[in-house]
Amino acid sequence: MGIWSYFLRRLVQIPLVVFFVTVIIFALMKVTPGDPIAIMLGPYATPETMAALQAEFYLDRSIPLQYVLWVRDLMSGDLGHSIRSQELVTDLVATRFPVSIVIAGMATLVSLLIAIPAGVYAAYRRNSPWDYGLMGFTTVGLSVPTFTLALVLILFFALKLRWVPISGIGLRTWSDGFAAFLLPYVLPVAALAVTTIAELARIVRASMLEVLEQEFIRVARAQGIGDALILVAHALKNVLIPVITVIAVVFAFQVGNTITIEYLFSIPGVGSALIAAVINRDFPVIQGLTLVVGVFFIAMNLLADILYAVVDPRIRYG
Amino acid sequence: MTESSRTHGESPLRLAAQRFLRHRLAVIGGVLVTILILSAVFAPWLTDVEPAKTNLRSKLSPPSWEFPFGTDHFGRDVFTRMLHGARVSLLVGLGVVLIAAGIGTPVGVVSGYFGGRLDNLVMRLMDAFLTFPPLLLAVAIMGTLGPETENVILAVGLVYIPVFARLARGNTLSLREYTYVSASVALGASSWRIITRDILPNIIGVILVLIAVTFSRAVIAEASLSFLGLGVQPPTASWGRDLNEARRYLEDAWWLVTFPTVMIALAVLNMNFIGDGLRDALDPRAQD
Repeated sequence: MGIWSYFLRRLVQIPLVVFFVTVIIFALMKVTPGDPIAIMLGPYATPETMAALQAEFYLDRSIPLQYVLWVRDLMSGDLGHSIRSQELVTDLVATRFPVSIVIAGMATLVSLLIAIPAGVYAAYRRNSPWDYGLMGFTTVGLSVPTFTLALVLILFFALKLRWVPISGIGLRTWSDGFAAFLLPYVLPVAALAVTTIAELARIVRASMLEVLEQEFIRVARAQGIGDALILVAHALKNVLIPVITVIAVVFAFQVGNTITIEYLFSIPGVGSALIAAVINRDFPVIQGLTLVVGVFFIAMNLLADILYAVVDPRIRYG
Repeated sequence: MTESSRTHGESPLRLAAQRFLRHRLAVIGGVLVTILILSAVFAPWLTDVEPAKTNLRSKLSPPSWEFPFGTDHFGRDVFTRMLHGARVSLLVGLGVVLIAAGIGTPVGVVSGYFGGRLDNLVMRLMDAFLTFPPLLLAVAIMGTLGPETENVILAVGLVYIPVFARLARGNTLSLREYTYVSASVALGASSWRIITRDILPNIIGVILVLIAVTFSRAVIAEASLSFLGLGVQPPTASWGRDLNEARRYLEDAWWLVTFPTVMIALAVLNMNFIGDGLRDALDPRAQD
């Protein structure tokens, strides 16, 4: 199957997936045990405010009609507003999403910068202490939850050594100086990066081992080309293919992974907004944020597919 | 020659067990997880202290003979709380696996076996669930269900149904191509018979591996949700919840953050070792 028919098939699937995503998010509010309006407004709600909210959520209509009207509002860019603060969900997304994206992007970048050289070197020095050390690190790194790791980092680097602050993201700007702006990012990004460093280092090591076995590497060695040049010029190019294809997935994973980190470091991102909404039982915010994240992930998955196809011409589309 | 005579006539189950036992880390993991399960089950008999029993006179005491893991800010015995926290973690893990594998596997097998439009529809629904980051979706579901231990099981279980469905479907699709399955079809066996006799027994291996992995992910999810204050509610002991409360005493009481962290890491690490061992034993096609 050719590349274009593969894309076409993926594209055709997307509307159905998006439809189900909206159904899931719509259902979130329908499966609530009890009356969602009463839960949201609390015990002191007046009948008038309850009736107003009921009309706003179309709760006086049949369930299929509620869904249709809700989707119609979504299409016109109306994601509703917070029950607590009256803030528009679209405004909330506009202020919170970039914060999470920046942190997830930094974590992805740091992961790549560390995992690629580490994995390449481990494969080059296979079965060396370095190789075993890295494999041990990846095993543990994939097992320890991000937030427990973050607590340990806080204990040592923020409280004992006092090298970096615990909070401050979103409070300082560039005008406070480069270090003051950047330092609060160190611990959250480090905690986030560990899991993906472990994941990526394994991928890099495995594909590097495969490449090093191949004929053209042996030819290059026989020609007397130095190991460093072989690794960088010949092998690395082939190793980057599997890495590039997973970058979008890693990035998307980080956006989802920030939730405990945002809570722990008081970062004003999507994750902390969602937690606050869940605690307040603020249904429009829960639905709006979940929807935006869902659409974002669909886009990232599509990007991953495109990168996959562009970078690796050997892939069969089936 | 010796290899074939040794394996001749042995049941596949026995061969799998042999392969598992050769995997040293998996055996260590199996032993440690067994200890964890036993200490969780017999927690009330292992210590005579109540996990929620406060004793303000001995609050924040460091580890000692009386309190092997120290006490927290309410004077509660951390050792006892770790044992009871294991109960919650393992209970959630068990419930999640039952829901996810119990619903996801049949959905995937049936969808893959019959194919067609229904398969397309079901798999797009599963894709829609997989669109969300697991923890984020679990948080959103907790928001509608409310924070309760049972709801943690429901939310996380729901999140992992599609993972089982996808794996079961993929394996069913490739099994359908095998001659023995087409032979059954040609002989006029009913779909039910083919699914239960020819397909299910052959995908149990990969499903078991996924169960081990999902169990450890569920433990992490429970710890994360409880850490965020959206999961298990106080005074019930939970590793994640206790870590949240330990945040305020990071500098003064190192034991409060250390022991839950070690418990979570040990539990997850050893469950992953079991998963690796099972993969080697039951899924010979999978290569590391």
